[in-house]
Amino acid sequence: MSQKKEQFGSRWGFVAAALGMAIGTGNIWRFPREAAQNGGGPFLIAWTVAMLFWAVPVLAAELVIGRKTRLGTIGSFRDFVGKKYTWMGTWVGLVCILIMCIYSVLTGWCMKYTTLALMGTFKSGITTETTQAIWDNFTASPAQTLLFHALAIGLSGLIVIKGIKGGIEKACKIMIPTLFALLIVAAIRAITLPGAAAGLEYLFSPKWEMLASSRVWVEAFTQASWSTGAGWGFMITYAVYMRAHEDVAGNALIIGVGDNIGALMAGLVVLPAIFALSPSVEAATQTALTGGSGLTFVYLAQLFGTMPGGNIIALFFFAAMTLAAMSSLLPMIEVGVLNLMDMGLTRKTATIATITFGFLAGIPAAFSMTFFNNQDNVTAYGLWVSGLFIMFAIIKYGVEKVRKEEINTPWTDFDMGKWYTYCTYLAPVVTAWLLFDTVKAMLGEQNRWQIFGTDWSLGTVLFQFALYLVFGLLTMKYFNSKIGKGVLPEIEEGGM
Amino acid sequence: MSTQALIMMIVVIGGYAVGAFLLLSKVFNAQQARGNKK
Repeated sequence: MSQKKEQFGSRWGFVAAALGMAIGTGNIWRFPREAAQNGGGPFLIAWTVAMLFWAVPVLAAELVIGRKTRLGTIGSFRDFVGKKYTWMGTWVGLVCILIMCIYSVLTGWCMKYTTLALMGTFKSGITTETTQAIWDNFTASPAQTLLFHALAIGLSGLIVIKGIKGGIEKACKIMIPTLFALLIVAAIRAITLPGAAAGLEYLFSPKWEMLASSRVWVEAFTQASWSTGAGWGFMITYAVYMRAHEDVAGNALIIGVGDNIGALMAGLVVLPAIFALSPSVEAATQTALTGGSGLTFVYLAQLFGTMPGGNIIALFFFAAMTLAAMSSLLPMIEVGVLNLMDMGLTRKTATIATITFGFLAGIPAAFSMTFFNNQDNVTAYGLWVSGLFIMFAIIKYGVEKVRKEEINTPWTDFDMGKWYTYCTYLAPVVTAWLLFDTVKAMLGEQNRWQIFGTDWSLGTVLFQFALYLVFGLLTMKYFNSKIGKGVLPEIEEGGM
Repeated sequence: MSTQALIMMIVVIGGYAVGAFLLLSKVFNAQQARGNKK
């Protein structure tokens, strides 16, 4: 039933695809706000610790599961943990697919703003009122949001349909270096603006007393989780195509460090630009704390217009956003494609089915910001649960067995010490702590039990989680019998 | 920009730059060593 799997042509190809997955819009519009809001220096330390001791072990766990089973999320749980746990793999896959639906809409926004920059929209004299009006008109125009949503998922589908080596690897080998180059150019321009030092001060100023604050650590681990994509199932999917003699620990480290460098570079673009171009420090602080789509599409778009050659920088910035978003959309589609291929579909049919579903299920998010935000929040928490399942899988299989037999292999460049075992046992505790912290915050809200028409409530999260669970349990028997055996790739060769 | 923030910036950016360099050079050297063995 299962076909022979393709494989990445080189280690660099795999790393480029994995970095493409990890570096997304969260690096650009979430990291600078979180770093600045949580004490600058202390946050950067906590976030680095979170990457090294939480994200890297979780990424390594995913790489091991994918490489060992050579199956998508559903089949990998069946074969790695046991037939009774297939529903966990279904949960992981389902959450990835649901994120794909909204992420395609978001990628469409980035594409729209790249075309606006191409047309010279962000020119001198543009005001916040104008950029707010552009954003409001765009999001209130279903024809436009749908068109760009269709373009985003359609173009990504065209890449995925070409396969791993000829599609995803080839695209990411171009997209990732281009993204870094665009960020470097934009960062140099932003840092050299008069007044940019205030932005750097805001980002790096060490408020050491905040290192003792649990809030800083919660936010640092949350950022590391949502930024690196650890525990989401994307790495299980890409690892299926990894060569058998590939270094798990080294690749996990490169992904973690590379993702953090991408976020730092985005911080060096966003905060210096905001502080240099805002009329006052208070206004700049207010803008920096906005974060998300408002920061990017309203405030930054306007600020770019106030500097000489601003439209060019806006073009570079929004093009970088588009590349970051699209290279993250590719693995989301591939999760669906691989699971369908495991059930006997060809890549072509599986890709068409996945992107058609993604387009149709993404329509409500393209129409309504409340729906978009609802799905954004619910799936983000769903990812933490996915992370818990992945760590459960590794612990049930045997952490020491994984470390000695799957990670510390003769062909590895880095050996994981005992610390990996301790971190793996700690990782689910940290994830549970993040979930508990969120539930606590939700319980304090007035609308905590509201299910529909809300973007953030415990009721809507629990209701949708129950649906994921029921779907996973109802389909378990079917998937157990329908999914074939994982098949190793044939070719094996060295080289970067 | 305060001295403390400047030091922090140098430590963070420098730390990541050196870390990335050491990581990649280890990967390349190991790769090359394996290639020579073949």
